[in-house]
Amino acid sequence: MRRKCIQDRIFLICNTVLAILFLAVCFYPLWFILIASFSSPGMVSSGDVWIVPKGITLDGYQMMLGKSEIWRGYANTILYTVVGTLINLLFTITAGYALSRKTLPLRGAINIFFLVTMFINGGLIPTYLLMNSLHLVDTFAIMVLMGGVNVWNFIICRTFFETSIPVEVIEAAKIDGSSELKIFARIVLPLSKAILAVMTLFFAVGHWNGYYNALVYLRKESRYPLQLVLRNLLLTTKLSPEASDSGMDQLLNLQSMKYGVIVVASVPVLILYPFIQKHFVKGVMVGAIKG
Amino acid sequence: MKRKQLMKAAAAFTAAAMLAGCGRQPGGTAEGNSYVAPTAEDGVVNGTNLEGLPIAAEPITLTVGVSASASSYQGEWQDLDWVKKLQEVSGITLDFRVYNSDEDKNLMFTSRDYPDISFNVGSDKQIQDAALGGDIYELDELIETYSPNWSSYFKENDYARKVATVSDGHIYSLPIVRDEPSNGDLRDQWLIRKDWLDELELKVPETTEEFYETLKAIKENAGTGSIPEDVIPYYVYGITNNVGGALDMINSFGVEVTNERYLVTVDDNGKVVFNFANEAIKEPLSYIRKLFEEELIPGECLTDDWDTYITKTRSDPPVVASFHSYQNPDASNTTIVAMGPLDSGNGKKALIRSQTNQVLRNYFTIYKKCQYPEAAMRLADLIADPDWSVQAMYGMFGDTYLQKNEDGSITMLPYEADAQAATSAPTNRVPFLLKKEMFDRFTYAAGSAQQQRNDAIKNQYAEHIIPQKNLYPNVILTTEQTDRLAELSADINDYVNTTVSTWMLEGGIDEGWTAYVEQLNKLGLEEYLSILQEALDAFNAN
Repeated sequence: MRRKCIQDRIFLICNTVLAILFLAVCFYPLWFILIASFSSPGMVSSGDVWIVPKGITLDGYQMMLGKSEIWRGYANTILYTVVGTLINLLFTITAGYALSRKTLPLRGAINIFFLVTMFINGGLIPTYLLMNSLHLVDTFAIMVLMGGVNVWNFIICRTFFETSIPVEVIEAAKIDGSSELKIFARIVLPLSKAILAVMTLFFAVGHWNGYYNALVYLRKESRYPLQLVLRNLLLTTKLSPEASDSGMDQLLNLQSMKYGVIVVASVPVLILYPFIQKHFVKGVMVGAIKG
Repeated sequence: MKRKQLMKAAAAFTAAAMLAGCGRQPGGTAEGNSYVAPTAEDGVVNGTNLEGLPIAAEPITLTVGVSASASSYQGEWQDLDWVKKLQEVSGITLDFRVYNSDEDKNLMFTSRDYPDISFNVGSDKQIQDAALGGDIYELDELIETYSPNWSSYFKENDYARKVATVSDGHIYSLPIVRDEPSNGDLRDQWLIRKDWLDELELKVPETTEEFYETLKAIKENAGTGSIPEDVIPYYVYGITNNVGGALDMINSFGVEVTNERYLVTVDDNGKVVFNFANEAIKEPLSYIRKLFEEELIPGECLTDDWDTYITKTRSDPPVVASFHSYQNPDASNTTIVAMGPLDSGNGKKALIRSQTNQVLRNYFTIYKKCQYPEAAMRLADLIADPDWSVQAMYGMFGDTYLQKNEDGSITMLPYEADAQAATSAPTNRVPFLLKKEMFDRFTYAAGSAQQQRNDAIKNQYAEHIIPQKNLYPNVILTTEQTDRLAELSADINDYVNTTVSTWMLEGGIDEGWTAYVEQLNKLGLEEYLSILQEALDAFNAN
């Protein structure tokens, strides 16, 4: 290997140190949540738990097992994520592809129509009123339909199709007698695995972590996604000053449970990520650089 | 900030919606809120039996707006035994719509997408605005006709009637009433670790001087016996916090301070008093400063959050010797005991705080879209029945929570702390009516929080409790008053908090006092007090 010059070495050392620091900053919160979920709640709150778990206990997890709303929330979240992501993909990918084709009539106008919504939206109350008059409030549908097309992701898709699928390929297919739908299904989609993977991850993580729509539009506790259950759980430990503080011991137990719930809630996304990650860099970069 | 903007947007939208709404809803004026009784046929009016149970003469479903308050803590509304039983007995199906945050409650009022009835949803302002918009029923007539429990209660208890009545003289929402001496007669117990005092051969302190000496002794003996190395002799959760704060330390010097509402009290002539701008408070503040200075109170407790307060005061092994709390963590009342208030030696009577949360507004509202206002009011009357009310608070009759005896008295059964009515009762989230008489025939379980408090009041605090007439009551404010007070109290309370905290950590009370009072006046203390006085006078005259 070629000997590195002194500047290179200094650069490398600094780079490594900074990267490690950065890793620590990113990794520590995850680590803390993990060890806190196994530690005694009292020690966590008093700040004794720092690097390693102390007063190891599984009470939090045990308590979680008995909470049916957590598992129902989990099931709801999986359902919303799967159905919601499919709907997102269906709309976003097809819209991106259609608008990437130069032959589409009124392409410019439609593009602007999409873009405007990125900068100007109706705001919370009018949107709520609209959803209410569409009878979507407090339904399963709103959790999967709301934000069905994400304009930002749509632009990434469009750019991807514009830049990485050569027009010649499409023309060749046409000459061979393929219909538009067939071109999309047989030629474009197989060439676009990277963007499909990236979009799946974006949308799935969005659905998995989202609680705001549920907070605003859901009224039935049986429809709550996990994140909303978790949010309520976290807020429970903050009583208003008017409230009496009886039942504080329960709150302490809830404290240890809340870290456990965070762990359980994060695991699927953490597992999903490495599988998609290889596509991730490629997919986004392709869209970004050449766009 | 974001919320404020949202509120403004919401307010603007309400105004617009009201203007727009006038056209299609003839009830755009206050008269539009009144209830006109339809004629009854065979004891049935509008699908509702006039007397007896079930309430519903035909299948009735009511959508009920409720606050979430921790679904994961208390179980879901639909699953509560109390709710199931209520539906069964009343014949009314309750369809709950749960509101999780201020944001979605705001949305409910601004979009006018109301449920039929709501329990604890809606602030004074929201209810008054909705009343102005003609969206909710005036309850006066409905109470009179369909709710003997509430109408007789309002007749015999003028204070509750005043609390429930809005400034236009009508009742738009029923309150929740919990006139329970063990709850209302005392805010915080002042607790101290008796086992450590015994180890040091000290008795429970009775004067401020003794308290100081005791704390010092505990600090000096850190690390000996069961007193830990990192002992916190005295822990206060901030100075002015209503729960766990140092207010009762100040009250020990005979200077009345409470912070249930706006940091004010009422003197014997009915005048609103702000003792944090009163020269007399310098003495207790200087005393507390001395405790901070000698590190008998840790400085960080001024910035600790609620979770830290809870865990420090309840840690195992214990680190805090003395603190303020609603409940004594030691159920047996032997290792931790109630103490205080302390005799300051300044000739004034030592005081301790009580509460005015016996009657709270806005717990039951009927919206104009409700097709069965009669059934809704009869449902409220059923909830206000003593048996239903006590079960809502403490759990169902049976062999787990409460036992109803043959002579009509009720005994609370011993329970595991974890199981406290959790899957059984909605607790104080429904408009129940628990009169004082109920607790004459109610026996608490030994070791329960309420039993401890009863004992503490009887044995320790009875002579010292600040009388109710000296507390600023739960008055109703007009929308303008609410807005103005919110601005002023934010400034004033923040300033009091930061200044007092600085004094505690760095001293300088005497030097800084004049500037402090001047600044308070600049921040509008006079206007603040005059608004509160005006509201209080209106309340008393109501």
